[in-house]
Amino acid sequence: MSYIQAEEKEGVVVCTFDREDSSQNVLTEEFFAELEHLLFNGSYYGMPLVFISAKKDFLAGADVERMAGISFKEAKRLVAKAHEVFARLENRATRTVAAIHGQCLGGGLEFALACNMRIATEESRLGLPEVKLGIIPGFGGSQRLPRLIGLSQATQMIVSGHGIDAKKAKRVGLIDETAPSRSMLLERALAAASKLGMPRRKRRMIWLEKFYVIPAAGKKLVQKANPNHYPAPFRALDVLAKSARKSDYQMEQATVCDLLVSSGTQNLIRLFSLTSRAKKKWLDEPRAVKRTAVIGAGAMGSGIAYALSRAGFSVRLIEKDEKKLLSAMQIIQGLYRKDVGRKRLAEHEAKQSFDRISPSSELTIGSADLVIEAVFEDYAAKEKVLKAVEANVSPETIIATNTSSLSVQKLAEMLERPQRFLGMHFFNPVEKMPLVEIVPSELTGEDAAQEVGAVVKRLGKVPVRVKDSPGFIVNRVLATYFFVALCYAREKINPEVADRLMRDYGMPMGPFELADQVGVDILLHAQRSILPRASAKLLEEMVAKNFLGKKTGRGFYDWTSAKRSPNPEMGFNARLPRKTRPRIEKFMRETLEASLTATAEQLAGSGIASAEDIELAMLLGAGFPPFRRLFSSKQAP
Amino acid sequence: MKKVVLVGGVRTPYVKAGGVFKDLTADDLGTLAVRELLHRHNVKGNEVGEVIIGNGAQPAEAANVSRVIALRAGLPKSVSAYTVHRNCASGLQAVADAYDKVALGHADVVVAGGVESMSNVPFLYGKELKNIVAGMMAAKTLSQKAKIMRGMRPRFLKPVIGLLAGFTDPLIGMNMGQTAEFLADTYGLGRKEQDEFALKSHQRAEAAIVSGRLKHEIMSVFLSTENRIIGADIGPRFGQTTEALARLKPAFRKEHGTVTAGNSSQITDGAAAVLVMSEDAAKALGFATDIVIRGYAFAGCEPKIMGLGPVYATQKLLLRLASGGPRAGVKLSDMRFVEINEAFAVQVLACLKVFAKEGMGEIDDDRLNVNGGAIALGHPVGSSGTRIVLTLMNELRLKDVSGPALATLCIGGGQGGAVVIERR
Repeated sequence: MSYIQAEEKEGVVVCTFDREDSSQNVLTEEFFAELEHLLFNGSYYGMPLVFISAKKDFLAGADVERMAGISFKEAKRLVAKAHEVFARLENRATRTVAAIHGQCLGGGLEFALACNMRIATEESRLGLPEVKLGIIPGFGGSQRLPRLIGLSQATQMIVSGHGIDAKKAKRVGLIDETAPSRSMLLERALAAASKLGMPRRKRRMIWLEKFYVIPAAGKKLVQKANPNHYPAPFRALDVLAKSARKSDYQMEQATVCDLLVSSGTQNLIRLFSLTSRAKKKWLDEPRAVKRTAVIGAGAMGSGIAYALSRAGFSVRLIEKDEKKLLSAMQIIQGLYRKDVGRKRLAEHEAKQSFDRISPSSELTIGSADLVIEAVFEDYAAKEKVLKAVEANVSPETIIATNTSSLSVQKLAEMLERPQRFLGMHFFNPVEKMPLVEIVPSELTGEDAAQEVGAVVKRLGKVPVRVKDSPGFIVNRVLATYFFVALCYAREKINPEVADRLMRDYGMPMGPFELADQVGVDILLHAQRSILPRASAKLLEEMVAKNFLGKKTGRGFYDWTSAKRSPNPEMGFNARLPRKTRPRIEKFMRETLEASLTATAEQLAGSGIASAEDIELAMLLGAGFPPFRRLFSSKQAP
Repeated sequence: MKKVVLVGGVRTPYVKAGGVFKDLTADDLGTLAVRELLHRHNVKGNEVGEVIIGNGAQPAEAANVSRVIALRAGLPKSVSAYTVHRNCASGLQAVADAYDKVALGHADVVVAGGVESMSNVPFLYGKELKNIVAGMMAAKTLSQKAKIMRGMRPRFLKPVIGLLAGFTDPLIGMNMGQTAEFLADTYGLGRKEQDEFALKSHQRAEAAIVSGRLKHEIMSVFLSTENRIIGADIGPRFGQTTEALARLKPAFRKEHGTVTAGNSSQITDGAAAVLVMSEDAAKALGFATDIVIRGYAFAGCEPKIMGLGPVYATQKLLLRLASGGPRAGVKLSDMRFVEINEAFAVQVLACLKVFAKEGMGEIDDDRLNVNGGAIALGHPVGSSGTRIVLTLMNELRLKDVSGPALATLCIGGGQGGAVVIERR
């Protein structure tokens, strides 16, 4: 067998998952075939089973690559097979123990649920993240989980897709026992498996829970997600509600297949595989970088310092202006406090991470392995800082500039060691945005670029490679988008219109909201450097009037009252004429959409980045809706 | 024995206890100083052989505070760390230990420092309450518990203030202020002389702050919770006057008392750290090797005259240096700068008197405590010893003079400590 090795030990059959030629145990068709074979094996009748993994994680879940482009019929067949095998496992008249360590997610947890006992090491994580891929648990998880841990906890896990740790899993009854370490796991599992009789379970009254759990969860969900764009959690809730009285595996199968073949899910699956493919292009772990320095403690600098310190790097945060430095430290502390408040970090972890940041108003960075310069966007300012940095550090140190609009090549040519220098474009707010554009100049050494890619991965972000060019990927595309949007602003069309259209399209924010958020002055600067020949007159006028957006209280909108309204001094028309409104709105929607898709296609053609990377950058950096297709299928890579 | 050099150092501002540093623990303060020291000197961490931190109050939540500081400051886990305690000279003890380690070749690079958060010296409960709590924890039945609780009295809840307890000598039952009064009586040092000395301390500190000289040894602390940047000591009183000092009431003896809050050291929070290396290591790592540590000595004396500890320790050290050969000897009058920690004005004045009386030589007033002392800057007990060594190093470098310099302080319980460094 190439996936599951079975071996008798003390009257128990120990089945080890160890998929050949792979670092992960993914639930492939082969897995189900071998599992079925095992369950039918006559010599094992009447013997308890223990399932354990030889890899880093227990089971990694369903085969996402296999799910791409799958037909409804094919999906139906696969899911039905899984249900059949899991049902057989569940009905086996002996003890069946899942001995879990590492990650046990999705299909992996659904497998464990079909066993009648679960033991997990203390560091393991368990969860059903299917909704994040646009589907629902499809191997019986939506039926078995609520019956094991109750509807309230199950709904929370399935609808949010968040995993839980072993401690919590024990508390809610998802696992029966924790093992102190991986080396103790098998021993504990064998002991549990060789006990006589079947484990007894408390009966959950989920039909009763239904009446208060489902409406509350539904209410919360409506506030968070749009059912038209993200149907999966709503469908999951629906399945949970309808099968609360009597389990209904057929309904689960039908729902998951239906969702799986939908274009929204297929595109989310695409995002998933794009992300994992993009990460594979870079070094796995940084080889040399341990100590870092960030220069400039503005919004970007402090966000970068937070991300670095949280990922375990020591950070020297340099800023000449002590007041700015203080407020950066306050911002960072605030972010850590939020992490603790939301239970993403334990108190001591946050403290340890915050300790890694050392603020200073002087350029004392000699021992840093990576210096990220994030001073304001101006050649002269950057040149001065970069030269000073270069003179202060060892020749091995990598120097990166965080820029969105300057030429990395031009900066590289000013330096002594351009082979250790590159661009690193973080997005605002750094702590939330998962994308970093890595911009090597023609002089950058590949080892420096790889090292920086590995650092970005360590930050939990996705690195995307792009050649030096105005605006790189995301800002280049957004520049056209803003240009189009500004045309409508010049026509005095209420900014609400374009914002609403683009939100409906699936963007997290409309163009004018985004402009006010970013700052009109920043936007002007970007437009000038990326599209130097396009008129930016409107923006210039706005900057002159100090309509800089949210930060000054007024921009395209008036942000001073609780409910924002269009800035009255911009003279926008209140509404479009009723007769022509549908036509104008359709036209606006199409032009704004085209400004995104056509520019992206043009960039892909120009070769500054691979089409895959451009797509990923648009999804992660520009908020392009993942359920839509950026490239028309003809051009798709 | 290897030559030992002092490479550099830094300290946090010294802030009056109960002030803006009151929420920072001793390990918080130490982390700030050590981390800054490492960054300023481009120390990666692997090269450090030992971390030695002096601390008086020994916080309960950070046992071996040195190790806690070392790890929090970002030093590799493989670097060992220990804490030393010699009361007021704990910070000097750390430097002395570093000297030994390096001289004997047990380490090439040592981080030595002193930390104290006097704001966080805990309140304690007496042994009556302790016996009751321990008894309750051991008791198994309800009747046993009831029996123990019957012995409870409200007065057991009255805390013992740890800070005051620490300032009282357990063997002679005198607190430190009373030992200072004893010296005033013995050497006939009046209130006026003491106040004048205190005034000078404030004036010199003020001048040093205004000139920016102290910036070389002090780092800025960014207090995000308080929304404040602390870049200078909070303790020196600008424009201090004799009249203001004269108005203060004696703190330790109501009648005939001369020692006041104004002519004693302040109760303060702060941390200081220095880098000590072997000459070879410093050269290899590219550091200046101009400052050499010549040696140190500690000496004991009658607890009642603990304020004269510097005399005993200095005498011992000078004799020791003289035994090293005709050219190794140093006289008190050779010292380019002298730091005598100002626990009390009267205690420093008494030391000067005894130095002269014993024929050890006189100390020029303009070489003594040139940037003011603990009366103005404050005396975070475990930290001051490191601070005075750091100040001497900076003064020698800033004024670009070569020659020896002496750092010495008195130690509660009847001891003195002294270190001589020299700029080549």
